[in-house]
Amino acid sequence: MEPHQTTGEMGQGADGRSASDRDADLLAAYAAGEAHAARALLERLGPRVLALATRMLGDRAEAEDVTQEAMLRLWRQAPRWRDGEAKVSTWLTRVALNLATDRLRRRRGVPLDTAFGEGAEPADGRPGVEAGLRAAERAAALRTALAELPERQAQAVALRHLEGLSNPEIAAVMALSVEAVESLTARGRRALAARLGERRGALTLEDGDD
Amino acid sequence: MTDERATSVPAGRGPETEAGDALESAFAAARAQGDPAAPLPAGLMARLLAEAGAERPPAAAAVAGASAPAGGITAWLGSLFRPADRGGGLGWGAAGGIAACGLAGLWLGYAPPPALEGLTGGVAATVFADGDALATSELLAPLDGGLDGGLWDV
Repeated sequence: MEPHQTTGEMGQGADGRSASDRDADLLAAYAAGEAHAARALLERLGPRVLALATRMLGDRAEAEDVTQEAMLRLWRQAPRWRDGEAKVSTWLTRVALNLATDRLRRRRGVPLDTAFGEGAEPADGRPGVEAGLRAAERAAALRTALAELPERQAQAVALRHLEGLSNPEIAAVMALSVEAVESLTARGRRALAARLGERRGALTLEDGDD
Repeated sequence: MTDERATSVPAGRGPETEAGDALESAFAAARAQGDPAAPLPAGLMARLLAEAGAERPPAAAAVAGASAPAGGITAWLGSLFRPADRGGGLGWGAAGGIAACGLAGLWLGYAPPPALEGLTGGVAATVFADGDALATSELLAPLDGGLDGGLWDV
């Protein structure tokens, strides 16, 4: 299966600098005390961090907390940043992924409605409300199952299927080989499918009991 | 990003098709809840900018202004005695204070008050009478005496 999207790091700008080069330049400018650099970095990198956290957690407030914490770590890392060691976006994705995974796994054992209750929340009376609620339930069930997977499997699956990264991109974020990523995502998918199947079976039984 | 690609189903459908479809559908639903193309909400952006400002190192220009200017130690010393509004580090007021301190030290060296005389004499005797031994204890012993017997009693 092809990745859903790329990270957008490969393109060259008009000045011949890649997007990741520009991120590194901006981080260096921030470290040098240039006030404009923070806003530019936030506009470039913030939306992806927020989307990753929202997709993994399904909770806007928690996703914003993750975004704030991830960006705070980037600001604090800026003076020590050594160009060429990692792409800024890759480093930030790794930080956000770890923060979101920690929160996801802390929800284990918490009642589903409390931990995963927020969904698409379509407004009442609009067409598609029911479909929206079903989608929200599916997303919540997925997160429940994801939280129960071994951590690295959950992270690889999230990057692949929620973020749409390619295997080499996931390997860079997780500091693994591409082969290890392939193995993790395959096992993670199987485990998720089995857990969602169990849940569907349980729901069917509950419905039958009514 | 609602991600229409999410509806794609992997090639090679097999006996696990139903489970695979359910999984793809769940992935799509979760992806639809976060849009990486949407700008950050204004409130979040404001909080992030505030934190970035609080963490931001001082501008390089400001740091350079506080350190020695180019041109070596002579130029730096010269800058100390220029008025501050012309880029001098201290200005005449501060330079005057430094000069007064220097003159006071010079005067104490030539004509120390009695309370200091025992102190400085004791140290000097210890240091210069026995050139081999400059152990701390030998320096402190006359200091203690000087402090006990002189300075604190003034």
